[in-house]
Amino acid sequence: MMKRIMLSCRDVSRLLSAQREKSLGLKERLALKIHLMFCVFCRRYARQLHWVDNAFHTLGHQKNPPHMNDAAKARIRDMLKDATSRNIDDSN
Amino acid sequence: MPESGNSINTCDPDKWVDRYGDDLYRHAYFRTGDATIAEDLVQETLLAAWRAHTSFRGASRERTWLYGILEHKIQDHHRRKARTPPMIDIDTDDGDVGIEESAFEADGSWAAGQRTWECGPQEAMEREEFRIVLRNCLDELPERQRTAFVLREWYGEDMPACATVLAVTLNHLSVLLHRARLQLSLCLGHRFAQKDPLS
Repeated sequence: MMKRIMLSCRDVSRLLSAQREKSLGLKERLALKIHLMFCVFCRRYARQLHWVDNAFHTLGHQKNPPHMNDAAKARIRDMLKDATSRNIDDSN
Repeated sequence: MPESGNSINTCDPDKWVDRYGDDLYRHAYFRTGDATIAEDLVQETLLAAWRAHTSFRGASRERTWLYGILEHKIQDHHRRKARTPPMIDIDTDDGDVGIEESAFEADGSWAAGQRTWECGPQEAMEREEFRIVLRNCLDELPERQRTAFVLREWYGEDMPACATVLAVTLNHLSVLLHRARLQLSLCLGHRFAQKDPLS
């Protein structure tokens, strides 16, 4: 039982990542909690994961995000229209 | 399959630029730091998507599918730009546990010298120099780890959609994400420690 409870930092790093995708089982959650209580490095790593994920999320939601200028959009639209009209026969 | 407004079953390239143009561009711009190159990459992506659209069966969402293609284009671009092929791009994430081996001691504790760093304020992200550090660290990831991370964390795509684009199982996707996060954390720790300590 103790073995089950005692996780290595390496195990913890995996669980911390997995936790962001799915909810962990009760045993895993408990073991994780206990380890984090005693391990300053893993507590830091947990904060970092959160920080890193937030950082990229922030990038995706900047206040004034860069956007493509209208000329470029028009150019790409034209190219696509050109490509689709040439292929319209075999795609139907 | 659940019907939604952006279902690919009605493949509609006319709408691609309006629907996805800015998002794709934003991503390409962040990854290359160059507006013209970013525009070209978006154009290449949408044209490639059109050419490949018959092979797309709606197994993943249109948006996720397009990001997957853009990722390839960005990586091609980096490869062309590099004078020598970057060693780091060799995809070693199957079976190999390189990053975990170097991050941890044999007993599973954090390796000395790779102790984790203290996080600084999130506002740091508004500063260009931090965005450059993030970009560089992202570039150092093996390809598939990077794609997995970008789709999942940046674009918030769900796990099944990411797995479909990468053609991996959900379990493998979890492993890719774990290694990407670990390596990103270590990389950011190194860079921040050298430059501008956050703590």
